[in-house]
Amino acid sequence: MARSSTENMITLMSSDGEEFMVTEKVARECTTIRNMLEDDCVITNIPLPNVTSDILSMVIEYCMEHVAAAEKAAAETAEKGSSSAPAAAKANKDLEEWDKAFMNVDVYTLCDLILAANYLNVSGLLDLTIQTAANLIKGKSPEQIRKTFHIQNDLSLEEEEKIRSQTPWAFEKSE
Amino acid sequence: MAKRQILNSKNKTLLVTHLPEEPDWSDLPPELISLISRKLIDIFDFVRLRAVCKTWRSAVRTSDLAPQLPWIMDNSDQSFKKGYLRFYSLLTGKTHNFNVPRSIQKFITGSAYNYLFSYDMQTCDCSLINPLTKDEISLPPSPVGIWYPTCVPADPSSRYAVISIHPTLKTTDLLFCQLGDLDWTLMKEESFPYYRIHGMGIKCLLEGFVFHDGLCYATDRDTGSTVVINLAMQTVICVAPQPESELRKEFAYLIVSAGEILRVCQYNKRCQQETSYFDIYRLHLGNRDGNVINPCWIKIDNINHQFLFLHGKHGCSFRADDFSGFIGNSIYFLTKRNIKETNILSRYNLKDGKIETLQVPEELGCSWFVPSLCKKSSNYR
Repeated sequence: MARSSTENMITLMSSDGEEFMVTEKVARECTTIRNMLEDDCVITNIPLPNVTSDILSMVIEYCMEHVAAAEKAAAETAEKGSSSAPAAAKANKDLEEWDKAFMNVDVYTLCDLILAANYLNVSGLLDLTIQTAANLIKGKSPEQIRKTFHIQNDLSLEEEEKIRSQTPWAFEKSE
Repeated sequence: MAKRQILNSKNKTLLVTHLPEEPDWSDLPPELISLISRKLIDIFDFVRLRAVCKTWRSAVRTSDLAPQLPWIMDNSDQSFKKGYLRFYSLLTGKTHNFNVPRSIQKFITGSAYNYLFSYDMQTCDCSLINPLTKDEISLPPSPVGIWYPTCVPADPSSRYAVISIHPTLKTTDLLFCQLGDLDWTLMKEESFPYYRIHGMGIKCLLEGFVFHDGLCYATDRDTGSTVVINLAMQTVICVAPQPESELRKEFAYLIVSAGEILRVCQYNKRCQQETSYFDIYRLHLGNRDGNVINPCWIKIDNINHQFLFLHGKHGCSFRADDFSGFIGNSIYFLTKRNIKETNILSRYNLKDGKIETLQVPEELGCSWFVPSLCKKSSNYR
């Protein structure tokens, strides 16, 4: 087996049997995988029974983009001796823009991404997806939130009435 | 769902197909729902999330509420006559009305952190109220008859509620109670060592109380020194003298910020009411064999990612990361504009000393509290 440690390839297998070959560096963005690799350094094939191929491909896309951005920043720092603040700020902004575009998904995909980011422990992606979900909730009534996320209202009329009576101010139409 | 094509340079090209079944948001693990709720910094959004479905409600506890910025009470006659309290939210810039019985003999003031202090001048009844949950914690009735107490932001962990200078007896006795106490505790002025230093003739008035780690801190208005009091033992632990570099200030606030006690001195322009700059000191308690020695103030020139909010005689500290739009290493403060008595919210930048004026409604009072969904009455008494 090739021992050029930086370019070790790992195969990730999705729940539906799709295989994804990624560099070890990209795979290590997932803390869950990083821990597996640390326990067993010769591991090359990792089955991920909780993640479907379409979601796994998106997680990999996210990790690759973020690894590439970090590598670019590190290379620039090494080249110039120190990182230039405006360049770093621009790179950050570009990555933020990329994240924003990446989050242009429907709520079902968003839900699966949250679950995958949580399972694979990709902290950046989990934070991004959780924040996206929170942004979808902001300024909405409970009914509008249910509609957005396709959630059935399983609260009885009595329960709803009780919740409203505890904090009526939260359910009034704003001025 | 749109099909996604991923081009992975090192691998093959994948055509992504649709999922066999769609995920259900109400099946999301409770800890993830709770994570989402912590991103909702407006208390209104948080409450509405908890009213969506059974699983979301049980997944999110009221204590998951993200850190909140203060609400400032509107003291205008208009809201007073209509029998409700009106608040301005620093975060959203919106005003909110709450039905809290108000009457001419009822005195409502902040800031007992998550509560307002209410005092009935006819019955002498005292209580802490949370206008959001209508929670009311009864306190022992006033021991001194008619009374305009100094209210302090109670440390939620210490359970100390209100502390006051004994006003009617014109002494420097300290009056305080803990939530659940049956009576107020009187700490006699003789307990204060500096009192003996100054002699009987000099009146010492403590102000700007804060609690931290079971201790109470307050500043003597005349000497500027800060007293560290253990209320449970009714003893003064030490006295930190006024910093030597401190000039004739407008006011020195005591604030608990990121686990430290800060002294924030507000300086006004000469002969004017307008603030020109601030100085910040950090309390250093020297420690030898478990005893506090030589407490002193150390001047600091930045508070990193924290920002401070000052109003009335109290302030609080927040992490800028928790509130988008708010800038770290700065001080937000409300001041009264001269003639018209209207309010201005300003931001002082500690880095360059520049002051910026921000928009706020004009009719605001001195009382503020930090909104919460606290319901403590069931735990106490």
